[in-house]
Amino acid sequence: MTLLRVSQLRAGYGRGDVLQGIDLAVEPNTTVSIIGPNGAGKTTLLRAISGTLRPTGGSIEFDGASILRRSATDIVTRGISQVPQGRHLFGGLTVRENLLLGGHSVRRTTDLEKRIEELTAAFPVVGERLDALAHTLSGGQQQMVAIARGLMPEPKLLLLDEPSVGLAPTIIDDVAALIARLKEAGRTVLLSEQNVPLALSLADRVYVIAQGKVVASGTPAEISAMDDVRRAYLGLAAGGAA
Amino acid sequence: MSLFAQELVNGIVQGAVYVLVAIGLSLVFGVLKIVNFAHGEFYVVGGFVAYFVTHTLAWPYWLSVVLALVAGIVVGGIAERLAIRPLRGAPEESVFLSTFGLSLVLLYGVKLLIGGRPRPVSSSFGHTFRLGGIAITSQQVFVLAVTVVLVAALFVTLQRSYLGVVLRAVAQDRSTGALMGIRVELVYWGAFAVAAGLAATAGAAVAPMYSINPYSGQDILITAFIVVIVAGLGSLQGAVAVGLGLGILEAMAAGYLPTGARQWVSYVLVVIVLLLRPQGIFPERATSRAVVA
Amino acid sequence: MSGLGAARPALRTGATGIGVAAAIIVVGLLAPHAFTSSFDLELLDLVVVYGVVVLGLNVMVGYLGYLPFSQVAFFGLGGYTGAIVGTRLTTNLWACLGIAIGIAVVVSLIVGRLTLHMRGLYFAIITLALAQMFGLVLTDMSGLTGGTNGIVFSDVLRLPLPGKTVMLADYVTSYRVTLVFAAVIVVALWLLMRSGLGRLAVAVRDNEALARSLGVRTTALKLIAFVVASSVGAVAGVFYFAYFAFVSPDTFNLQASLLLVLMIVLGGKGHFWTPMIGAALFEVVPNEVSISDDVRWLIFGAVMILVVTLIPDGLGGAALRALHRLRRTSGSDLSVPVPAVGRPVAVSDGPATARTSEDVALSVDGVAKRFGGVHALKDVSFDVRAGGEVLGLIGPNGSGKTTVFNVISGFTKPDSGTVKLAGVDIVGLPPERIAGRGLVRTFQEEAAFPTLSVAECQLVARVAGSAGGIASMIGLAIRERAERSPDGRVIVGELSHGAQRLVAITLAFASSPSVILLDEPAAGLGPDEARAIGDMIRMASSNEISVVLIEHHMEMVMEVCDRVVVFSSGQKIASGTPAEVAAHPEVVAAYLGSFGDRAATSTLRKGVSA
Repeated sequence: MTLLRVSQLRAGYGRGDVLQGIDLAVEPNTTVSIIGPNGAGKTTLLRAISGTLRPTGGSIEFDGASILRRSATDIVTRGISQVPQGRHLFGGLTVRENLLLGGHSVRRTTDLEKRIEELTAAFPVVGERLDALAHTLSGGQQQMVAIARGLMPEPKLLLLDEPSVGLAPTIIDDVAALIARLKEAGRTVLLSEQNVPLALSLADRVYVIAQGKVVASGTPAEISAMDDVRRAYLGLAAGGAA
Repeated sequence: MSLFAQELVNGIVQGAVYVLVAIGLSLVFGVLKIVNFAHGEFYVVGGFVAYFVTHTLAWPYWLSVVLALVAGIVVGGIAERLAIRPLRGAPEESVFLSTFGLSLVLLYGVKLLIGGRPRPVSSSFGHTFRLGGIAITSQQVFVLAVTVVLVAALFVTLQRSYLGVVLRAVAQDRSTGALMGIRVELVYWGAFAVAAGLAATAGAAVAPMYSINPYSGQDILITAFIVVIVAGLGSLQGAVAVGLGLGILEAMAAGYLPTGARQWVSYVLVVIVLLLRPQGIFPERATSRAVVA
Repeated sequence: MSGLGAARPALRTGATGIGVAAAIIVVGLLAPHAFTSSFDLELLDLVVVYGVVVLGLNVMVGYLGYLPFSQVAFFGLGGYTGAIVGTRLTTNLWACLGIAIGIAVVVSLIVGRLTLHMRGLYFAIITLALAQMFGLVLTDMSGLTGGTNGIVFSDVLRLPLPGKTVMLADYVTSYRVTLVFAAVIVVALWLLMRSGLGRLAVAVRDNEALARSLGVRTTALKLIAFVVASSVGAVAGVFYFAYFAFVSPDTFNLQASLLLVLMIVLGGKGHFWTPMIGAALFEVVPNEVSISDDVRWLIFGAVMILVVTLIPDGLGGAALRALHRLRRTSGSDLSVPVPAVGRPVAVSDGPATARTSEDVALSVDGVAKRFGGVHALKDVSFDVRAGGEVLGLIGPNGSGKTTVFNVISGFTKPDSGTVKLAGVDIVGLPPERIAGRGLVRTFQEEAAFPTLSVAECQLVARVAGSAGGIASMIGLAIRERAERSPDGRVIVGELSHGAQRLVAITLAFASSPSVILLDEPAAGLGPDEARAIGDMIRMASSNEISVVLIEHHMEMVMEVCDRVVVFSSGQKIASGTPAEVAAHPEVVAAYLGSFGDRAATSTLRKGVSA
């Protein structure tokens, strides 16, 4: 059964909708990438799914139930965990405390300490700096911690909002490797990215969003051959101006 | 020399009171990001409870202090619901103005309950100790003890408990906190109520030393504001240091300078600090750690 | 929805206001004949006096958005000055007024200079401390001020006029004199606020950064507003003394300070004269109902909470809003006209042709900037040619484009390098001075000044760009008002997103600068609106205004720009014509990677053992 189905979704901030009717589906155990130019609505879409932003129209179904009007707190308990753009770690708290907070929604039913051990075993970088204050970590380390934090509640769906932004290319490679491992472990991931090669290399399915609508979707190979994508990014079409 | 030591003792006790009130104000600012003009009135409410419990109910004084803490939390919780929460998302001046109104409601509410004259509160702490020429009453010791216990409890909670982690997280980044599943509204409510409870306890603790006067809330509020600003908004440890420091400075002024000088100390201090170092004396903690280091 | 975060109404001072005010003054002068008791006259006088105080205070609160607790201290300063001068120097009312105003101006200049740069809360606290200190001075310097007893004036003030001297020997005369002076002050204040000063103040409140980047001298403006507000308060204080012949510290304490704020909140701070309604309500209503003082204050407090939570515009403001809604005409949307920019020249269609000028309008050389450990900019250099060149800055997020704008426009100081505008280094100058020299900028996602109308925004921008100081700014503003079109009355905050953005961009053009920096003007806009922006850029270019444009909207960049500079990780990696840049391999790599490059993608697939 499709894990996440988004239909004709509209959402925006105040006057005017940024999303003009998005259709998207995420199957379990797959990684879906959303790419598109800035301002197209990638972050808006993820925020609408995680409940941070209230959509103005359309529907979102997760695991068979509608989550359209639910609060962020509620959606977290249902199994969607978001790693926000720019990481947003609690800088004045230690890495361990950040991880604990990641597990806040499941703290009564899960042994959080054990969870932290599992994650630090999988991501040694995180384990090395458990008692350091989060703001002292480098960008790449923070991104790792943010993803680990997102994994604490064992979510059914992990939302990653532009994990590569602001990171140096070599660090991006490390982050990409981490995400690849998540894939191999069978996680379902919805990933928005400005870095197209990264997005294409990790995805099982790709959606291209521009001006608030899905303009193309398909496998990475199909997408990389499409003219529309080139045009959306570089303003060049095969012949003629806009 | 003994004058110095005596004033030092008096100053520390007065400073302890400032700390209890200022710490609540700083907590509210750090977590809810609002300035509560009514905070001093919780102090008055505490004093009123002390009076009511000892005078009307004729129960022991120490019990009245405990009840003041409870009353402060309750009144604070109600106040947050009625005057603060409806303004979530409004511009910060609106909340500030609403707390103005709240301060008037509380001040005149208490005044109507106890009448216009200041009321004395009797306590069982009447003994005076003499140590090498310095007099210290058991009431003063009680004030210090209460302050130490409450402040320590607050810091331990903030630093060592999961609740403290949650509080500090919300203070730093409420929307990411919501993303983690934290019920931010509940945290706000609790923080506000606890702050009110601290101020109320301070009011009850000093009630036997000064009579209950409904207008005392405004004075202590201004002092608390000054302590918080001089320390650096949101810095709790700074508030402790500056609160004690101010108490001592004022006591020294009372002891060594002509009459009337004491009242000027806090105003002169805040003007100097705002002109020279507006972020406060301990700002680094305030900016990077938001609530407590 | 209750009034939570609702858009504040713009400052309206319509013609109805004049009519009403005139009627009130006439009635006020005749009023004493209708009263049977002197108590009613006293109330009326208090309404007038406090009305003036809060109208002055609202210059800071409503227009500028600052809360000076010092107003009550200036009120007291005026009262005590009147008393001291009256008892010791002369009973000439002109002298009392003159000296009070003089002292108030000097003191407010000093206080304002020291405190106005602070954020709202700190400003409120420091003025509170100062007001408290004033109170202490009143009680401590009892030789001069009479201490806690105050000063009782047993003589008679006189007002020498050409023709006769008015003796303020009885309450009715004192009241009438007060009313006349109050009317004059209020009218003068109203004219002042109606001119550029009021609009500029609101602009600064709405968006100080944008105002500065357009050239508004914000520090001077705030200082003037503060001096005006404080002096008006002092004058009111003199008249308070003139009527009651008595001043004491109790009238000017913290409680009184709160009362002033209450009046403004209750009446409404969003308009010029609505605070007066608050003053009237506070003085009159409680006296109609016989309740004790304490209950009265309790009710005030509760009313305050209710008003702030439910009717944030205040009672007066809410009434006006309702009236406005009934009378509203066109709520036009995208039909916002683009106003004339300097010398009108026909818009050229299609791609901009190469500019002939070889002069360099703007030259950025070797600029570097670090924020902590992050190298936001590393040795950035590029030129913008004069005469209307359109330069595009593109690159991924976080590559340093907005930082470059911040450095050029004076909001950030670079660690090294120079920025030369028409050959002169402008590094270190504040944004408003740079705007004065002909370089303005817009901000990402900012909607100009949301509570002003379109025409008022234009006014601000034109006035800001004019050289020559405050006086000429006000003069220019008054002339501008006559040229407004009906469409200009629409409030910016009520326009659609796209239209707001258009307005914001027109502001940049309004002062006819030589270089404009546009930060993502088309972000989040639809194709029609983006096209409108493209047209505006072409028009600017035809008028020899050079434009530097940060954009992600690639089609627009390709169509509108003469040259493009590409940023990545704080460095310039390519520059040239749009076509050259789009084909440049490094640029393609920075944005897209190479499609079908197996080598590149395979490195990202490094498998790691669990």
